[in-house]
Amino acid sequence: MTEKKTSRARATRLNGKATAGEATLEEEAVVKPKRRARKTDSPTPKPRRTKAKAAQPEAPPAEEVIDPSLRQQLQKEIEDLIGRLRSLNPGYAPPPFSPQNLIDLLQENKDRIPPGLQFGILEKLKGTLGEDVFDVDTWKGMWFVLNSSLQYQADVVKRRMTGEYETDEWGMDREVIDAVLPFAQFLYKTYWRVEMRGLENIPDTGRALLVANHSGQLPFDGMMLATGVLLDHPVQRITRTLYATWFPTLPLISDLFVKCGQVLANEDNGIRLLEQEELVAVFPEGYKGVGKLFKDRYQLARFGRGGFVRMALKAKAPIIPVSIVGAEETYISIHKSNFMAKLTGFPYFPISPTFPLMGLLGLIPLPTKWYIDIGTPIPMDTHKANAANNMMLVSQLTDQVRNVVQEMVLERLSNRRSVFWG
Amino acid sequence: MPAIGMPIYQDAEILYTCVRTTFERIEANTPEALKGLLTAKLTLRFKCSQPTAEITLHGKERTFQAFYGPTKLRPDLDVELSGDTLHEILMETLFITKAIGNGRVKVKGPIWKMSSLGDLIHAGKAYYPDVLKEQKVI
Repeated sequence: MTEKKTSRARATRLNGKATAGEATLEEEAVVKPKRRARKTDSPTPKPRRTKAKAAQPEAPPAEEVIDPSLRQQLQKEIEDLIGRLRSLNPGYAPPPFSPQNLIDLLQENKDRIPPGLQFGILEKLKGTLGEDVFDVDTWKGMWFVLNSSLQYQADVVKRRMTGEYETDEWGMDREVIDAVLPFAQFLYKTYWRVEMRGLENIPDTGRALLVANHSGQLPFDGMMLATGVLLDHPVQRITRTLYATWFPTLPLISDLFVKCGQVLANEDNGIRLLEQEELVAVFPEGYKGVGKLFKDRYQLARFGRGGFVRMALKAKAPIIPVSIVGAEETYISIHKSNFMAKLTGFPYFPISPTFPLMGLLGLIPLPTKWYIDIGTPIPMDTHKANAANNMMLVSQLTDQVRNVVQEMVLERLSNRRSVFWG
Repeated sequence: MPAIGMPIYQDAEILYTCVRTTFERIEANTPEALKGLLTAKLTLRFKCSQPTAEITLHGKERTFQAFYGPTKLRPDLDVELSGDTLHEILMETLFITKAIGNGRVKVKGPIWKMSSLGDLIHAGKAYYPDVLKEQKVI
């Protein structure tokens, strides 16, 4: 009510000034009469609006409003009005507004504004009513939204620099995921145009273990699987991928992996995650899968020693087979250099037609079309409590899961017509 | 019809009934309007004055949920406004950015996420006036 009173008082005082002999806004502005009639809270607004229209029979047609001189005049009026408003309410907290400053701010920051925010601004503009565009409050609101959004972004950066952010017990940081997501989303939706099917097989809540084939020289397949589940699953679950022990030796990358919710691959970690009702993903082929040659594409390597099955049995989590098709052709590996692998400390060093011949440019993956199929869950709670110690059973289940994934891959390949168009 | 100068909602219960009925009709007839809120995984709290009321829109689960009255949910966005301002926004006679500009709406949190409410408010316009009439608010 206080705000309403202030607004009313402000309108009254502006009217008072106008009648005191100054040039009125109605005389100056092209579109002001409508707004003034609406803002004065008059019980009989219609006659006033009629009067305002009648007072300006020679009002310029709509197409003349976009005339540059009129635009400048309007800009000057808004700035004058802001000056008056500021003098009426000197205690106003948000930063000073002027149309010129707003335009400058937009121009300066257009590249820095994150896509989500850009979308927000566009949404706000979309919802703007015609007459609101000429209302100073609208532009003050836009100014406030933009400023506080940039301020919020700056605060996020500041908090991160000072270490004032929250992570879970594994080091996952939602803010980092939000920051990385636009890039992952671009790869998922635009670059590789990933089609994900069978998402209904992933439960909304509770533990589950995704077991997928691995390929593509660089582990983009894990990234796309997690992105797909996060973007397209109805409850947008976070996938906790178990990554190989070599990654922590890399600076920055390992930190990023941890912050994105990935966890070092070992049985204990996997069981703990599953017992915390998380959705865990593993790529049991490991380096043999991701670093396979182009001629061996889509021929699944051995699924390790069955560690993932023991994890699932101990945690009684269903195994969900996943096939990823399209990742194999992102890099065409024609040879593996053991010498270079030893020299660089990498687990494998692929030689492709473009890498290392073209240097870093050769690392750009090909824009193939990807398919990710989520298979039917294989329940693990039907086995006995000590089933994880039964090596025969573990081996059988490992082969069973591998065969299911291999079949899913082959089925998808049989339906695919083109590597790039699907 | 409330007298001039009187708030549109006489008490919190009427406000809750009107908003609840509107959201129920949106859910039943135009569920796609809720997608923005669900995609943004946003929990948003409206703290109303005149009458004092609290509505929390929870978009972090599979389905949209609205809570009427105080909850323990931690909102991403806190929106403070009067009952009349909420009414004007739902009627689409007040543009939300303009309301922020003139101080009738105060927002705490990542303010740009308010854009996810756009479709919801727009869809609500189709049902809200009828709900007001049914509840004899206007």
